[in-house]
Amino acid sequence: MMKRLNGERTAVAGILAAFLFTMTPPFVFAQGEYDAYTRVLPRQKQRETLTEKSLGFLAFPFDVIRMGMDQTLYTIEHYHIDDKIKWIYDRLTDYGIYPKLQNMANFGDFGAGVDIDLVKLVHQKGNLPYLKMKTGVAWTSNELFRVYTEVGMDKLNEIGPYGSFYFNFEERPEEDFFGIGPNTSRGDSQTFKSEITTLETRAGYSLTLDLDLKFRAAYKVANIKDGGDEGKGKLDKNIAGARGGDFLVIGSELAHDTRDFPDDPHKGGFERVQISYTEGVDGYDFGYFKYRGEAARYKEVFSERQVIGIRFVGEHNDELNDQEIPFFDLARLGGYGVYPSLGDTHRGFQKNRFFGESLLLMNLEYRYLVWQYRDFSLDAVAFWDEGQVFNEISEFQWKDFRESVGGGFRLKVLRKAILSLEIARSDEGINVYARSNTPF
Amino acid sequence: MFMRDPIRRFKTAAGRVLAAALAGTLAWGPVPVHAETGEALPLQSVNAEEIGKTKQSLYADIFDQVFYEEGVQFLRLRDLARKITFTKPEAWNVNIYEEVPDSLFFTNRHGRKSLSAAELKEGPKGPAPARGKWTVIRGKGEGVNTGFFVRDSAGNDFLLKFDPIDYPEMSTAAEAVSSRIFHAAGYNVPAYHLVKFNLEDLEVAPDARYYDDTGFEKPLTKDKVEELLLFVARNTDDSFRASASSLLKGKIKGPFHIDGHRKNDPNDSVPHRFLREIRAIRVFCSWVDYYDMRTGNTLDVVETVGGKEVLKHYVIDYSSTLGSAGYDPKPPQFGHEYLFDFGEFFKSVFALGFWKKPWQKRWDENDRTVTDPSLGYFDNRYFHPGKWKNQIPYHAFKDLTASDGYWAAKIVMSFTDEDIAALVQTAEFSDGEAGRLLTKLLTERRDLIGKYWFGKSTPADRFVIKREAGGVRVEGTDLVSHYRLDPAPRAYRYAVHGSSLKGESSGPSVLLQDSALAGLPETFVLCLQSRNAEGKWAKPVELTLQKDAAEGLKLTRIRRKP
Repeated sequence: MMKRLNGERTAVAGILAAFLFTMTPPFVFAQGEYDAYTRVLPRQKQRETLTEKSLGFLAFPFDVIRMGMDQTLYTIEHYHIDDKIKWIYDRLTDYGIYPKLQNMANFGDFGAGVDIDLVKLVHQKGNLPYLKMKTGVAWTSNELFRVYTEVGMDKLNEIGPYGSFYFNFEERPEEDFFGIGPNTSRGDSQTFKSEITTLETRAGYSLTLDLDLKFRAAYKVANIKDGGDEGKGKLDKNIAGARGGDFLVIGSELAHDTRDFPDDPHKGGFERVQISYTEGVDGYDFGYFKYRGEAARYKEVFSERQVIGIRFVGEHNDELNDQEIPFFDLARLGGYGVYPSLGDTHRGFQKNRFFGESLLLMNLEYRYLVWQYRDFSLDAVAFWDEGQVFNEISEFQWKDFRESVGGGFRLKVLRKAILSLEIARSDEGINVYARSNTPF
Repeated sequence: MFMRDPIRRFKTAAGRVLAAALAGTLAWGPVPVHAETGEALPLQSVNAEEIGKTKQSLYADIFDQVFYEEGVQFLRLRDLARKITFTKPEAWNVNIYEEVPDSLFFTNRHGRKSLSAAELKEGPKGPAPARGKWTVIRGKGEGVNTGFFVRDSAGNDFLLKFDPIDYPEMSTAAEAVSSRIFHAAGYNVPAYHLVKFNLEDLEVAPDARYYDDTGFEKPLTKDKVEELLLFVARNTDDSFRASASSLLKGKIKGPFHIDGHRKNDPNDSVPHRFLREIRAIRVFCSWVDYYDMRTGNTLDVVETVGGKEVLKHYVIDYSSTLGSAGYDPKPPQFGHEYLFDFGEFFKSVFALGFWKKPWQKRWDENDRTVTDPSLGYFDNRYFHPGKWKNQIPYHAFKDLTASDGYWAAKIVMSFTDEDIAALVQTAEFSDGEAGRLLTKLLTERRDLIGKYWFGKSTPADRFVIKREAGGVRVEGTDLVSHYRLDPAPRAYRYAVHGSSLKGESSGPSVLLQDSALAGLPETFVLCLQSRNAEGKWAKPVELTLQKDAAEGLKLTRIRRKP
């Protein structure tokens, strides 16, 4: 009986199956004679074993760091901390307060500062658009402490006169000095501390959008002391200016600037000529002229993603009669060459490596775009700095030229450099720079 | 008493440790299949309360994938070995016929059975905002373009997103078209509807809040809504056009990870980088230029499927597809490079600026302009399906094999010209020319994808076994010819593993003579290989055939070399 029932069931099931098969839309077995979408899986790989997983053991320590970083980033994003910081910064700038991180001169150095536009701070920019009242303070570890104030009048338009009174105090606790002239030795390093206070009157006239003429008259007090670095020699007190001095300075500058985008020029250039006379007062026997000329050109080559920039600098300090030039106001060469450094750019050498009455310098850079993402971009840069210091013109020798070569990367936001990482080599070794600006 | 025995105690403790380790191994990732039949196990219910909400952070995602993983991958010895040997791991969830069974990530739709034009245009099911007043309930917290959440008169919630003021229709059109493409392909997608409304149609809930650009949460007032809407595009009749995304019902559990898996979900035990449908998202993204495909644009939702509460995985936010990058047209390098692409970066550095990248060439050729504001920046010149990149380099996308790509390309190719035209209609362009151009671009790009991935693997598919006089014919369809991607006939060769039986044919058709079959084992593997357009032999397809009294042969497995 059971057998017969089973037989009947089988027959019914068979008929039913045949019926279903014929009624089933073709897509069920869309690829002919097999159900391509069956849920049957081959047993080729069914698990990631502990052994396989443990092959990542070298990454485990880094994974812990990553977790911390992820949590931090999540917190920043979730609580809109980045937006809040930006908002706070924007609000401060609305009030004329410009916080800034000081440039890193070397890895490990750090600093901070603030510039304040006092007219904006008291909400009078609308009423007194031409009044200039600025003050600021800046500090960089082991390098600089600075306060300044400037009061005056901005240009009425792009073209026209302007002028101001300026007060500046700068303390530099550890400045290096290696002697004067091209053939000094790095081993003769001395260190000094400088405190320079300047009271200055500035007046200028923008003749065109590109051309600007400036005059200045300043009273300067320089205190020179032993530097803070105990590991280096004390400054030789017989060097002119080693005991500081009081100075009167008058000078002028003519500048012509045709750069298309001053923060990241691709075209145009600038030329600057400066001349000044400095006289020691209060018994200091100093008296000298300073002549300085600077010219730079930028040109796109092959495409607008490749730019060559070249800059020439010449400086000569000429003492009057038998008077002297204080060593700290001589031409300086070495280092990255952007404020707060006072020396010109020669990246393979350390900051202020060369002092001399005269200076000749060429900086050549080839910059090319290697990455961009929305407002961010990254340039690679290869550079060659060639320069020397010397004293009298007659002492100039071709063989005294020293060269630096190197390269690096510059991260920019909206074409303004926010981080430059560069490495430079010279016959005195290798220097690495992390800065938030570019040399020229 | 015996527990006092120290040896026994040690053994027990060791056993526990071992058991825990084993459990850990199993929990890490066995594919849930029946031990004997090999069939994927039915879904298991999840306890929604036990599943935590994953955190989403674009910043962390960028740090992890763009910088951290790009460096640390070399410390993972298995990944390193794969890099050195130029091998990629096979996907784990491919069935015996090289297809992906339906899952909580993916449902075979258009690739399995062509959807009608109406079905394609309808897209994912979900209510459209009902007519009447819409109440703004909060601002959009993430993303870059303007948007806010509204509740319609029927009580359904939607996210409204708009077009940038200078590019009307661009991002809303992209969302309408691409979301439907992803849905038709098989992914879980929320419903997106294009809506038109006037300012009077909006009212603002008294407790509505939003994050403004200060980073602080503020009350969202009617005035503020009006102010936000000043910066979005309007229709010619001054009304607003928006993409309304229907908010998913169910408990939201945050995004799913593109590479990893969710440890406390029993249905999600395979690391996603080993799931074919996740890897192959890259192919679909390349079609619609979805460069912003990332963890943050996925969403896990607890839903009831087949009477069980399960975690369903969605791919969301299509406003940055086609020529749109959300709030502006797509920057030219998108689709060509990761956000920070170390490979491209080093190439650029060493080329000293003399190498012009394809996207740079194209951008220059285009005079660095976007010709059609409603389409943004989208074209096919220099588009390379194999080299296309989204902005974040996930392992899953880099692990995409030739067979994964082939699988995805089959689905892409299943969209006919008419299907694409129907999908583009959902963009509701005011200028018909924009629609025609987009249809043309998507059609061309579809063919480029098909041609590329079908060239990487032997494009023989849809096998049929027929008994003929004197033997059994195993016949496939050459998809390149089928889709008319290349009019030239493709040379094929075949071989039976472990036998001297081999030969050449003009197509994917092999007649196995009875006499030859007699000498073969009960089950054997027939390997088919075609020449691709470059004249090289493509990766083969292996057919496992079993002798069958009724039909002569039965196809029991298809395997494509990864």
